[in-house]
Parts: sequence; structure tokens; C-alpha cells
Amino acid sequence: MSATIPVSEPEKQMSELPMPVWHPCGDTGLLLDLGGYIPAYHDLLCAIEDKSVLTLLARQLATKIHHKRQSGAIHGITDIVPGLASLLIHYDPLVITASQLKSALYPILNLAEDSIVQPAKLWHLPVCYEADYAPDLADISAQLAIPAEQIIELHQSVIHEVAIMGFLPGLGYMTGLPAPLHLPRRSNPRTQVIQGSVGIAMDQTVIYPLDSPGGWNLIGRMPYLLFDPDHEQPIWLSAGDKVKFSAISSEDFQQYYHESTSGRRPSYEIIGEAE
Amino acid sequence: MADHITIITAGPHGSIQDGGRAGHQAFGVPEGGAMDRDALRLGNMLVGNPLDAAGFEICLGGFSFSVSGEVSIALTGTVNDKLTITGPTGEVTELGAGISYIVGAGDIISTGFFRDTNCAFIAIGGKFDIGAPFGSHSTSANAQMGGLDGKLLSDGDHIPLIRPSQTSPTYQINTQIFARKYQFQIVLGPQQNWFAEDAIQMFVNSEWRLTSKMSRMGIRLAGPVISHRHNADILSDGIVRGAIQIPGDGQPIIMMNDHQTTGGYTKIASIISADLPAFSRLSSASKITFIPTTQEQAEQIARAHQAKIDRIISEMVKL
Repeated sequence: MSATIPVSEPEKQMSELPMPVWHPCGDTGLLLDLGGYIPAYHDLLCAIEDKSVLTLLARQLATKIHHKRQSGAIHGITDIVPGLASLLIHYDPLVITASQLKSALYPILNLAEDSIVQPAKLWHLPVCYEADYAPDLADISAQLAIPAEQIIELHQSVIHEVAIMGFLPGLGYMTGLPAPLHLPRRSNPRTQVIQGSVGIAMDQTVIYPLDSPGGWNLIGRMPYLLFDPDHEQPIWLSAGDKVKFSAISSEDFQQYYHESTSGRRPSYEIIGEAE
Repeated sequence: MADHITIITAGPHGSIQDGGRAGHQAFGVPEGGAMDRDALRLGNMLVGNPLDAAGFEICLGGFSFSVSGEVSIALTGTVNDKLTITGPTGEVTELGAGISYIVGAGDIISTGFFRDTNCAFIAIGGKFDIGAPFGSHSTSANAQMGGLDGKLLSDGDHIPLIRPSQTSPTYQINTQIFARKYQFQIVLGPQQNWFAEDAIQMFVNSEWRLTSKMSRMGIRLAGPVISHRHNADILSDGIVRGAIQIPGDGQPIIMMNDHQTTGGYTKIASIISADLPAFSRLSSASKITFIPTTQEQAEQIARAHQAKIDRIISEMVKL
């Protein structure tokens, strides 16, 4: 099952990465910079072909620190937030200092150990790409000179990956959009984007978990609730997850949406497990 | 009907807030919670609650409510603003900040428009019997969760309240900790390298004005344009409360409690945690300056600030 799914192999590039650097975020945060923030490193960073290596590394370190925290080996960490090329550790200065945190985390920053390929969830997400659900499809079809049917096909043709989460609860920034579909955000953002809207911009796809202002180009809608505060697990999408989209009709959309409001969630499979 | 609080006039921006929901930012969930942590904790202490219990965060004022039975209340986060309590027979009692007081059915408790703060806290003895997504009652309007249906308070809202079996005694605290200030200490970073030295000097040495673009997500400042070495875009990273973001227009935005959890703009510095409560009390058009310090000193200041809160609590006077 895992044979057809491309999985990153970060270990090959580890030796080329700069040493991580700590940066202060007031007295409640420490940012571990994996290479993206010092101008002197800029060229070096650009030399890394695939920036997702850093994103994956940030995620793996976050998991290691999370385990260390859960085991009770370290106190005072209040949150761990992976970025695209960094890791932010929120801490309580009444419990631990930045200097103590750095010492405590030093042993697990040994990047050479980070060659584990973690299993990931592959979500199968239905999307209704019909015109009523895709207000920008005609526009971007004209803009990109690609027929709408082909845009829809291209969007379904690849496996997308949730690089990081942010902006709204349950919103994942998914990379992997095929190059012919890369375009900027709308110059005139909408004041209201409907929950479930699937937007593309740059090399990414997002799905809006809530009605919200937004500037992404809307090409469809996904019926499952990404954020349900009444559910025992309000958010199911997570950084590192993979996503495959498949087209559905508006009738199916309505049915899935209805089921979603009573707690149903999309299906997934686990990929990339050790053989 | 079970015990409850009825909102008579919600005012422009009243919401239910507690200690927030830290720990879920990796899923895009904002930390939220009362912007003025000092007011939250001291207010809850005055009414006999756990320190991070939910109460009302009231911006600008214009708020009034009634209660269904005996409840201890206290106003915090201001030195000079007051609550007005109008009894069932029309008698009026003025209640200053930092004093707990027991109100009952038939009383109407109201604030005027605040003169001394932008944002105050009203602590309520007891526990709101409402949902707690990610362990917090805090309203996050942009994330549409917490409070009542994820919304700011509005006229006529009923908030179910579980009253303690015994109403807390009343107390008074010294309120000088809520005094206004206009100088805020900052720690440079995480992206100070994105700015040339003269831009950092200009940022640190200039006077900044709070604009009217203020919300629980962020507060925009106006002043000289702080230019970037190259541009304002970074690979998106996590954000702390108090972070000072400089987007492409060179005008700072202070990230407040409902800030987005990750973002792609440079952050030149962060306001230290001990100064954030005072910052949240500033009205638009206030003029402020920044004083740089180190992360290590800021941690010491955080501990000294906590010691100050502890001292206020230990010196609390029973009425």
C-alpha cells in the first residue's frame, strides 16, 4: 500500500542543513530556527531544493519535545508550534527560563538521529467543484488559460500534504498543488468565505474551517466539518497528514454535509509504515 | 429557571473570558483568555473563585447585567472606573475597583463608558455553566467558539451560573497595579535580523500611537515607517502573545490573545509578559514608547511581577 506514495527522505539532506539557532520571543517563547531566518543563511536555505525537509524536521522535533514533556522530563512548556522552517516553544517563565530550556532540549537537537519516517494519515476528502460551489473557477480558468475541467483534474491528481496549521482552528496549509495551478491570492479578498470552501494560491490549498474573511481562489467546497467545538475531538486534520481530493456531485455534498453535522468524519488510511 | 446572569446591555465589546486554552496552537486554536491577566486573577481572588475562572471582559464599557440570586462581584483592571448598582427600590451604590460586593436578585449592575481604561474585568463568584471547548469558556469571536455560541455578549443573553454553596466574604485590594503606563519593555527578536540597525533604532526610539484598529486579535500602531532589509515575508512560524509584527507597510501590529497561531510576517520584538496587562488597558490614540531588555531580564521581571501579585493577595483586606 505504501509503495505508491512518495515519502520524503530527509536524512539525505541533513548534513547540508545549518545548525539550528535559538531566537527569543519575549519571555514566553523560544523559536528554534532551522535555517530560514538569518539573512546570511538565506542563500543556504535556497540551496535546499525542497523546503519541506525543514518543515518535516520541525514536526519531528516537535514530536520529540512533546514526548519529553509528556514523560515529565521537562516542565514549563505551555505549547509547541511547528512552523515551515522553525519550531516555537511557548513556556511559562515562572516555571522555567529560556536558558534552562535550551540546556534541557540540547540533547534532542541531534539531527542525525532524525531519520525516522513517520507513518502519516492519508485523508480522502470529497470536494464539490460544481460552479455554484466554486465561485473563482471560471476566473482562474481564464487567468491560467486552463479549462476548468482540467483544473479540477489537476487538483485531484496529486497527494497534498498539510505543512502547518494556523489562521483558524483546523485550517491546514497544504502543499503539493501542481505547478500549472500556482497563482497569487485574490487582489481583492472577500469579507466572507463560506465554511468548507477549498481555496488555492501559491503552491498551496486551504479549506476554510469556518465562515471567515479570505483571499484564496475558491475552486470548490469540502462537506466535512474541519472544526466542531462540540465534538470530543474538535479537530481531526493535523500537520504532516496527506490529503487526496476527489470530485463529488452537489447531491453527495449535501448528504455528506448533513452526516458531518452529526459527527461523521472522512475516511483515511495510514501510509508510510515501516515494512 | 436555574441561577443565571442576564445581560441587559452588552455594550460595544463584552465577552466571557477566563485563563484561556493554551496548548492547542499547533492545530490553529488561538490561546484566547482575558487580555488583562492581572485583572482576571485579582478579580477572581476578590470573589473567592479559582484564579483563572471565567468572568466578563468589557472593552469601552456601556455594560449592564442582573443576577438571579446572591452573587459576589468585583471590578478590576482600572483604578478609577466604577460599577453602579441600582437596587430594586432605586437606591444607588457606587462600587470602586478592587472591592468585592454582594449583589442580589433585583439589582442592576452597570458600568458607564470607561475613562481610566480601555478594557476592564468583572469577576463573578461562581462558575458559568456553559461549554468549555479545549477546556476554556473564553469567547474567541474569530474562531467562533467559547462563551455563548462563540459570540460576543449581546443584550438579553442568559448565562447559567452555578453559585457556590456559601457566598464568599468581601475583600478589598490595593489597585495601584492597574495604574496606566505608557512605557513598555520589549525583547528584540525573533526576526530583528530582518531589519537594518537604523530601522531597529527608529523602532525603539520613536513614539507610537495606538490606532482605532484594535481587536482581541491585534492592535495596530502608527508612527514612522519601519523598513525591512529585503521584505516582510518569512516562512510562516509560531507567534507569542505580545509579538510585534511588522508587515509590508512598516506599521507595527501587537498580537493580542486571539492572534492567529502562525503567520508569515516578520516580528521585530515582543512586549514582555509582565507589561501585557497594562498594554491591554490602553485606549486608541494613546502614545507609547518601548524600552528594550533581554529575555533573561524579562523572565526576572515576570517573576517579580508575580511576587507583586502575590503580595497584593496576601495584603488583601477582609471587609
